[in-house]
Amino acid sequence: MRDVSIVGIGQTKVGEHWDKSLRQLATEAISAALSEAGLERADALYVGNMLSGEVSAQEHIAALIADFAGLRGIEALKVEAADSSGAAALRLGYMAVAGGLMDTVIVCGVEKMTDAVSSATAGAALALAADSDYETLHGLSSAALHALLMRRYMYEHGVKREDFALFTVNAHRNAASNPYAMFPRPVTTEAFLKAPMIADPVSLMDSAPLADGAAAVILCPGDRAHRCTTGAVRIVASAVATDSLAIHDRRDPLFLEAAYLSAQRAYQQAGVGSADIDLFEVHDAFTITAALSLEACGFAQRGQGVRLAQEGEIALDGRIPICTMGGLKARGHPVGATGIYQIVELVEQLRGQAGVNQVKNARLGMAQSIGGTGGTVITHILEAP
Amino acid sequence: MHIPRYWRAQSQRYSLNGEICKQCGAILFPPRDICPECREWALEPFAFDFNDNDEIHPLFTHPLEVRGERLPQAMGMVKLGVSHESSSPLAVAETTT
Repeated sequence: MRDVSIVGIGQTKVGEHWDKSLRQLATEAISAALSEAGLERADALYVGNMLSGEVSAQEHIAALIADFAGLRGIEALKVEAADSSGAAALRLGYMAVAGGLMDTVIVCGVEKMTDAVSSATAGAALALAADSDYETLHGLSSAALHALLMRRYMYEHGVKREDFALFTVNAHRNAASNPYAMFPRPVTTEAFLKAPMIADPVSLMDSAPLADGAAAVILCPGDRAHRCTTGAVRIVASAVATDSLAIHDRRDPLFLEAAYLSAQRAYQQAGVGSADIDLFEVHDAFTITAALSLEACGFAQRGQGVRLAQEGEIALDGRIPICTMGGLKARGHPVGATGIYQIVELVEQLRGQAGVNQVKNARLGMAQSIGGTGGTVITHILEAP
Repeated sequence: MHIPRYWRAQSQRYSLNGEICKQCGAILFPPRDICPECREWALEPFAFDFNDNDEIHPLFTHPLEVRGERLPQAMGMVKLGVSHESSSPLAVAETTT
């Protein structure tokens, strides 16, 4: 296998892009990434997206985006793995370059949620990530499923709802300095406590906002990275694991087994442990997800993920900084694009380009992208130039 | 959003039938034919003891439009009764009083 490096990044601002289409957003991110890498074309384009068919009435988007991005003729494929679609596309790109099939690959994540005709439509579309026969059938939304998990977590571990507030406060504090974030402003614990409920105990402030956005990275073999850029960031681990889609089918609904497995596989590939990771872009679609992911990846003991936030360990100067550019909660969660936003932000951190959000001496960064409530979990570890 | 038509042919939807794995004894709901614990075929029907259900932490939520209505409903993870086993499968279900 060949080493694989990221030699270009691009992203659009996350938000409600009423004036741009899915193809325009993707083209903007891809053009920025190619420009940074000093390239005009690549061998392949892999697009991560979850809901273009359901929300934008458009499938076959890899060829569409290739065409509009000026890449007609290129190999182009769409990858879908619910919320982790972007990370899944990166996994495919990584395999193509590492395996020697491709020399330069564009990986783009894109989602256009504002094309949904109503919030109810968007919610129903997102629920497609759950088990249709046994969860969605009952009318359970993604928020309701996570509410089941959060309520059980609070009961089993003696945690109160307000104990989750610091995940949200941390994410918004970091987003305030991110020009690409959807909500670049801090929030207080009081605001968290006053937020309206979506599905008790999950409130608006526990939940990442649906959004539009696109992000892209350029991959090439490590031994050719110097031709493109001086800031090549190496992918030292790429791992996928799966679990049942339905939370009731899991051995323990409060343990994200796929998160554990993908993290362990990633640690093994990189030859490191959780203590060696300098920052972690966690999948905080809901505050409960952040807590469960931190525990599954070995950053906290079972039931202690919330304590990590309370003790300041997730801050930029903490033991394991998370959501360093706002996370899903405050940067925004353009579903199929989120996994690539996490990678773009890690690259910025590892290059030392994160401005006031810079994590000092960041050498190894990890990103974990979770599909649905944990049916697919994809972990990548990147190394500084 | 519509419900797949094969739903009507799934007997466990009406009678909450499960399956038991003859190889390792795992009790499965919903039926899934291949045991997730030992990967053997588990085709033996299993009837739950519904006097022994243990309901776990329900919540109220607005359902998706798949239900055709958006009135709040009470949902919960319910532990299905298995009188001779300590580990019982869970099911997500609408709870009623």
